[in-house]
Amino acid sequence: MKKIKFKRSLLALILTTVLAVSFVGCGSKTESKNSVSSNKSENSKETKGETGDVPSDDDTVVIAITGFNTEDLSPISTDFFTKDNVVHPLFDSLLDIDEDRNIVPEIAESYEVNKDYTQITFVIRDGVKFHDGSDVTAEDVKYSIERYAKDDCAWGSSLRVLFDKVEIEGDNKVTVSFKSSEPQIVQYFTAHYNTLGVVLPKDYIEKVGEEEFRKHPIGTGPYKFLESESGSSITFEAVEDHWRLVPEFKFLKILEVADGSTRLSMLRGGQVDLIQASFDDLDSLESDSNIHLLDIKGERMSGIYFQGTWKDTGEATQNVKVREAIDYAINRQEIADEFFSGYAKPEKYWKVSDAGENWDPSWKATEYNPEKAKELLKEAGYPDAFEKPTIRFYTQPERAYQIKLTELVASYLQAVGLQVEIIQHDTATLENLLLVQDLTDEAYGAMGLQTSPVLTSDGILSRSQYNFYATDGSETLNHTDKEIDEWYKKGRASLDVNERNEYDNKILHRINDENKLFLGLNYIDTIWAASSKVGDWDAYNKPGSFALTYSSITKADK
Amino acid sequence: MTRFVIKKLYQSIITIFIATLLIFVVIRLMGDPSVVYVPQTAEPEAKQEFITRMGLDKPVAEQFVMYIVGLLHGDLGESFSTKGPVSELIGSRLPNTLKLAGATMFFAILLAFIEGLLSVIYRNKFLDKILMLFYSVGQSTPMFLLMIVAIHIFSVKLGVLPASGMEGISSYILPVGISSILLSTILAPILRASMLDSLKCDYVKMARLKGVGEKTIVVKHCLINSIPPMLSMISVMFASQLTGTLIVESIFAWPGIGFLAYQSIMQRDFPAIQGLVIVMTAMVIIVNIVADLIQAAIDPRIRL
Repeated sequence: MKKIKFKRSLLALILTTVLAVSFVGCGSKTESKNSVSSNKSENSKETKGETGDVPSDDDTVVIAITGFNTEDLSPISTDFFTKDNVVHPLFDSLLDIDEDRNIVPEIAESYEVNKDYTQITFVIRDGVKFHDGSDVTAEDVKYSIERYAKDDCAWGSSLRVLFDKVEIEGDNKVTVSFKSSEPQIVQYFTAHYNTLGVVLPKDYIEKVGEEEFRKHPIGTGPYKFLESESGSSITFEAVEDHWRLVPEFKFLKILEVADGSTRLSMLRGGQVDLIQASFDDLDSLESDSNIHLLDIKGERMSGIYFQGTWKDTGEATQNVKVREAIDYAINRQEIADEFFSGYAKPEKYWKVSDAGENWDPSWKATEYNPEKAKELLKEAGYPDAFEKPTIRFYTQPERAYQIKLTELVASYLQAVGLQVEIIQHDTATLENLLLVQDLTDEAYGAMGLQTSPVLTSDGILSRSQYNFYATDGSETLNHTDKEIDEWYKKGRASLDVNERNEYDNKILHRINDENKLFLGLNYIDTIWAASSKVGDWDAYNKPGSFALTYSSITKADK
Repeated sequence: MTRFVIKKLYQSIITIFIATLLIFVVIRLMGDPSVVYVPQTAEPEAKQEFITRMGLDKPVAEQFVMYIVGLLHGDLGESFSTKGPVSELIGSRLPNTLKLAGATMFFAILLAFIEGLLSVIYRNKFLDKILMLFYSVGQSTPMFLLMIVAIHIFSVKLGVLPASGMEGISSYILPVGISSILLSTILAPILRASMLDSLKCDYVKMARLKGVGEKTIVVKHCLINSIPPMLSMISVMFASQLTGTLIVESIFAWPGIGFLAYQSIMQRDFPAIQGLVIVMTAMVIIVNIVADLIQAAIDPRIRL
């Protein structure tokens, strides 16, 4: 009897414990928040801004994005590209890019580059403050650049190779010296080209440590960090006396919502104010009177690349005529008009914008010509002349339309007689497989479709693009054209703009036109769907980055 | 009882060790994580620096030994993504999953008991037939589809419930409601079948002969004896809820460990994946132990 009583008591205890654990804190927020300061009253769980204001519906713009990619908010440890839009509200840079792709001063009120491109001197603007109220000084700039140049800053590796020293002159002049000439020295400190221009708060980081800075960052941007909930949201508060731009929305909340249909439902249900629209949903969004669309022109580009083309392993794409046939087989205008609903246009060169200074207006996208494609395939002897006539076409599901676009492109290729097999992998797997120096058998002759940010045409000579185009680059296409390496060497060594442009064009034409290693498809707009609370958004395509700045989102006129 | 505890502890340690070893090896077959954390355009040295700093250049066996040593000191490692302790990352998300899973199982069990009892009391009548049809439909309906439709109806069209997030009790209604209803359609038929078997037993016949009412027989005698078979299924379901909430968490943007596991895999965050596997394995073990204890407490014939 005692044993039965004991067992029943034990049962009661276990059931009570299980229920208690399951419901612990139910209805109250989880203790996973990081807040800049304890701005919550004892009896209230509401978030309050540092001014004491509680975010109201009118004052808050809520944006839902696919994911934060990382929860580390520090520019030291990861780069802006990885973080997409999440960190940009917090940090201004020494230099920025305007809508016409001109480099403009930001935290630096002016800059000067010496004749041999080994030094750049910044004059730091007065009145720029960090979010804790302290002034931005030359010491902070020096500290930041030296920090980025350290070994553990992966993003700073391009700086590390060239960096010599940073010197302060007077109160507000900072001179950065490189060990050798770098004609693109300015771009190193320009937002969106690079994170290296972001100014870090030296005193704050030395006081709290880098780990704390990662969780509670302070910067110089128009928004300051308020709180974050792991895996859920980040909230920012506007800096009311910001020197450059005071955002119209006092609070900015970015939500992580992985599922596209949920984001759409949240917009329609009024839970969020802004989402990036899928091209599939445009028709229904356009017909919804409570939603309007914001079109960011030419924000990204789609393109095709071929890997392992220089070694003959019997793959069809190792023949340049087959690659040329593929180029002619694709109807870029139809893709732009039908697939992207008119929010795209054909492009000539993948990753290269038509807005750069070096762009020649005569460079037009390849015309759709399936008959020419068939002719080229016949000349190449396809399929009989190839041991492996089936082309492995790789794509990644990260961007919603990428798989459908791949299928559409594959259908064009199949229409001219090419045999195509579509293979999906996530980005990391694809990069491990295709964008490395030591290729496996699977990678030879592979064809990939990717969407990328836009570069200006004179960006090819940058160190970062060297990794793609040169024979010994870390992300090389594994070609063996040493002449390209020579052009790189000469182009990068030259301090004459015209000479540099000449080498730039030579490399561009060799890779794209002669060897067809890259095929441009379309410049693609990014469409954002906004609630009636949101007005205009002064966002524009910034080269080299998918990041947009949320600080310039305006309220709708009442 | 002491022997039971020692035996379970020993089995738990072996299970966790094997799971850790397996996942440790398997995730390293996924490829180089530096492609996620080192920009494509960085210098080649940056990639090597990352690999060295994360200890990935050492032999796998050495990495594993170092990991186990850390584990014994309570250290689950540093997340590649957050740069913070994995324990902190998991700790911030686990309560969210526990709340979701706990609430779901509570209502699933409650609904299952109500549906099961009604099925048995009104067996072979119209209500029973409707419930049987309900169980079939529930078991064959994909959960994610129902969730998306529910969001569209309740959040978009009617605007009465939030589509996502964890703000307040109302945010629990859709994910918990739909999950628990669908789970109850699996549990209820098991309970029904078990109770119908009990109704054929001699002690029931005796009770009827003594003049005990049918409803009393069902509730007081059959129900209690039908719990043990249900319990096994409940423990499996609960373990599955704790470790398999990815779909629910993705659709409802619920910041739990299910979605964290997905993100960690996509981001090749090895330490986070390893930590999650250990935590999930431990949770499954705990659930099974609790189920065994409850079984033993209910059924005096079971000896631990």
